[in-house]
Amino acid sequence: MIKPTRHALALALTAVVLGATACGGDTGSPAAEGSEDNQLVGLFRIAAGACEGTELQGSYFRMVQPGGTLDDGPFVANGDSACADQTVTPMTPGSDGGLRTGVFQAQPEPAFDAAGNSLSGQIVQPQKWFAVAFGLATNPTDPQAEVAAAAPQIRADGTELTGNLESLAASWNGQHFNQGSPKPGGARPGLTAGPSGTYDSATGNYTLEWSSQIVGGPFSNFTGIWHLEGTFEPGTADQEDS
Amino acid sequence: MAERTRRSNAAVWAALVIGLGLVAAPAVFGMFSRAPAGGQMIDEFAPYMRGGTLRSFDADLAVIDAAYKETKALPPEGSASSLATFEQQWPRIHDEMATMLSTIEANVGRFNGLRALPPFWAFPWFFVLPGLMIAGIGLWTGRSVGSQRERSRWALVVVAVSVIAAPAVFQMFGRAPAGAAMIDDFRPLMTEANIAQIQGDFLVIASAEGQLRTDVLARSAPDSLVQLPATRKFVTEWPRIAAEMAPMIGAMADNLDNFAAVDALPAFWLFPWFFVFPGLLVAALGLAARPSRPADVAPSPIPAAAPVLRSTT
Repeated sequence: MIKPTRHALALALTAVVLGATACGGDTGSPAAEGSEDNQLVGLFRIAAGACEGTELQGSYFRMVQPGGTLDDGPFVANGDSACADQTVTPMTPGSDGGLRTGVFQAQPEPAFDAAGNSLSGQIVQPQKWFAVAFGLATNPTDPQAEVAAAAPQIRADGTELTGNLESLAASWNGQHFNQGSPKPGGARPGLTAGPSGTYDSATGNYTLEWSSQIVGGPFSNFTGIWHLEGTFEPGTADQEDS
Repeated sequence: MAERTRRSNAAVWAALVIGLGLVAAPAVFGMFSRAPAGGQMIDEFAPYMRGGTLRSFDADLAVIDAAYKETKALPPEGSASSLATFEQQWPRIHDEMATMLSTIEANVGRFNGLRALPPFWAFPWFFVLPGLMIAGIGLWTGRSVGSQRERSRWALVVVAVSVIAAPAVFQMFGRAPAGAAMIDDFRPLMTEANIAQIQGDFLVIASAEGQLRTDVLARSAPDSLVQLPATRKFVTEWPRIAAEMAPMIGAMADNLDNFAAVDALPAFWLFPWFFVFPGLLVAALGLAARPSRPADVAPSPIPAAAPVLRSTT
């Protein structure tokens, strides 16, 4: 058996320390404070959506009808949207202020009130959709597919965001709809794409968008488009847990 | 005498082949995957195949229809509005949904008959297990002589009679054709195109409800001359109606593949005869395998590949 010499061990440790320093050289940026291998761990604080005339700002949701496209629809009009273009539903930050990465923001138990309104309000405030409020949650076991899912992960490659939001699910009227991308297990059916977006490490400003085709249930083959924007606030997984 | 022995042995081996055929049938028809799919469909449809549930849906259609008739009398809201789309499409939607509900209602009895059958996942084993018994007893009979052969031959007949009786025991002669008729009735409903149409119709109703609640009723104060009671009732009851309709649409969408699997099985009405015909054949072969005198019967020639039974005593 070959034993490493004390000299060789010191050399190896030096190399590891130097390598780690090189990887984490941008320690002053928000990204690096919350990052591990460019992972942005923390809170993606959501800027509330708002409609002014035909202009839409902030975070929103819209749904593509089966056979449609992400760019041109046709989109589902939500009679409860306050926007002139009712195919978009603005979203308001929930009790946590937005989407957390590295941890779950699981739905409560029970997940609905007696009228079928979602009680999942950590990420966004439940929004009315066809008279009944929908909410968002990230769950360790997807409530629709009933399979394990990973906690949300977003990573920054320069100014570009990518990641895994497979655990994200919408709940509405006693029903659950996985709205992650990819789906739990990694599939990207139909128009499922993203997440992708932009990130400014100096300011923490981000945009994040993904689409997720519903598989099964009353809205099978409809596709949700989710657009979040706001500011990323770094944290650590431990902080997020607490 | 040799001719009689040859015929007796041939009958035994024919019974063995029929037994192996029964063992192979579920694999040939893809029953190991399709039958459980049918069972899942039966389970997931069960909440909607009840008279009370279907009458509730009928009442929901009446609520929406009353709102339609009331709002149709109002001044037009603009041709591109959700309400205009609803007013244009509701007569068709109403007709199609009412037809669908009456089709489902007409099949409640048939559905319950299917549900009363043994679990669908077990269906393949109703072929495999008797098939194995027939093949095993056939092998035993073919290798036996004298009184042992006589006993095994009668065992073959008894198993065959049990196979013949099974469809009657499970009332398959009535339930299987009823199941076939139900599959025929549901076939036009259980298509991707029809489900997409129903999903779209649901959104037409839901969008109209949104406009009625947030716009039309908001403009119509409770103390105004235009009271719109049917519209208010629709709006009030919509969350409950949606909560009932959405899971049903979901159950239909989720079971498209299960229905296709069941539809790909041989026609349901044939199933009792899949037991009766092989059973009759095996019973007849068992009886035909009777030797003139037990002592005259020689063991039948065993194929080289046949397993050798060794006594441990």
